[in-house]
This record gives sequence, structure tokens and C-alpha cells, in this order.
Amino acid sequence: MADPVVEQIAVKLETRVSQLTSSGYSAVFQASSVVRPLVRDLSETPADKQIVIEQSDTEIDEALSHPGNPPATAWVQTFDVYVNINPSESSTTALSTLVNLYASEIRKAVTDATNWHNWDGLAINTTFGAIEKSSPNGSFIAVKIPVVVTFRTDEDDPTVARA
Amino acid sequence: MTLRDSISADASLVFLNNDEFAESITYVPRSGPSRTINAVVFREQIQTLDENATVTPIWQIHVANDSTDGITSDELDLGGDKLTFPPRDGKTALTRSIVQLLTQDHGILVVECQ
Repeated sequence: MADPVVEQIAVKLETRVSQLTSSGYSAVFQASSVVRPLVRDLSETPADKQIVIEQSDTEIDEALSHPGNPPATAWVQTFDVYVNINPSESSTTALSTLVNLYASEIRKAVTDATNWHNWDGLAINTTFGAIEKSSPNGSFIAVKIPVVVTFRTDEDDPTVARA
Repeated sequence: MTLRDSISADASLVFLNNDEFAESITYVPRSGPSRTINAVVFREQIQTLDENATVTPIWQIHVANDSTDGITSDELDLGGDKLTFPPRDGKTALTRSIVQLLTQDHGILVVECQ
């Protein structure tokens, strides 16, 4: 059984940012790991340069939905891509430098595909939200890069992508 | 023996005695070799719910302020040091990041792991 379109997009997003864990993919930033958090996570621990993909609530875009049989529902899904920033206490690199650097590399990795914005035909558009500093787990500082994906599915089957 | 010396000695011999409430865990510094230390682990004492509704368990760990049996306050690096211990009694040990130094004195450090 096919996964819902939004899950397929999430997996592709994870794959793209996971390129940053490979040595040499980026000359300036190698991620330590990529995580999609579990509900109750005993196995993962926050780490410096760790990429965490969170998913906010899904919204319906009535203007982009259209009639048919079945109708197509347009969804807007924001994936918040965080990079944990926790360098050694002896680091002399400014926080703002790390924020700028990591945000730039995430953006490059997400767009590193042909027609990057449509996720191999699953979506109709993708944009980036404003970059923020955040502390999602209350300890580490992280830079948040929102990736906003708009896609359509059959109204009665969220596993079927619609143009 | 000064009071300062007594506090330091009691930390290892009394409060962090493995025959009582302490246990052996592994200190994994950001750089340098790992070593076995004694610690009292308060497991999953607090859990936070982050802004995306993920539960983040927290462990509070007491260690001696000591370069042999514990961690010295000057060597601790909150930017990458970790501890390896069973997240729940009886489970296989996992490595967790030290995210905060909660309190410190000449005898004991209390750190928080996530």
C-alpha cells in the first residue's frame, strides 16, 4: 500500500538533507546525523550538527483545491528542518556565522534535484520560510529552515497525488 | 583535612559509592579517550514536550568533580561531551549528550542528559 503523499515527500526531504552527512558533499558542513523524531524517543540524543526534521500541522488551501471526480484537495505542509548548534566550549566561531552557514547548506541540499520544488511530481510548489533561531528541545540552540510544500491529492485518497 | 577536602572525599566514598546508589557509567568526552566513572543516575526524571509535540526524556546525573572517578568541572565540555548508561534500569546502555550543568561544587557535578 502506498504511503500518503505527504509521507512520501517527507522521505524525499530526509534523503536530500541526508546528503549532508556524506564527507565531501559540502565543503563547509558535514551533518552528524538526520533524525525524524519518534513520539517517545529513548534512542536519539541531540548532537552538534544534527539535522532534525519536524512536521507542523497540515493546512488546506481552498484556493488551490479544485473540483472533479474525485475533487483535488490542496494541502500546505511545512517541514521545519533544524540544525542543532552545539560546538565545543572552546569554539571561537560566532553563532550567527554558524546559523548563516548551516541555513545556506540546508537550502542548497533541499534544492539539489531536477525540478526540486515538485518532489518528483508529488507536489506543485515548494518555498522556504523565514530562517529562525530556535530551541526545539529546550537545550540546544538550533537554526530552523522551514520548507513549505504545496501539494494536491484526491479528496478521498491522500496517497494519490494530483497535478 | 579541611572541610573542602572532606567534601571532595565524601563525594566519591559516600555519595557515589557503587555498593549503594551509584553505578559505573562511561564518560565520553568530545575529544580524548572515554573512561569509566561512578555516577548516581536519576532516570527519566523529567520529560519535556517540545514545540512539535515530541516527548524528550531527561536524565539527571550526579558525578564526582574528580579526574579519575568522575568529571572535573574544568574538563567538562557542554559542547559535545556524552555519557553512556542504560536509559532505563535493565536496558542496554546508550550514549546521551550532556546538555546542561545544573549545579556544581568542589565535590559533585550535577549534569542533565537528553
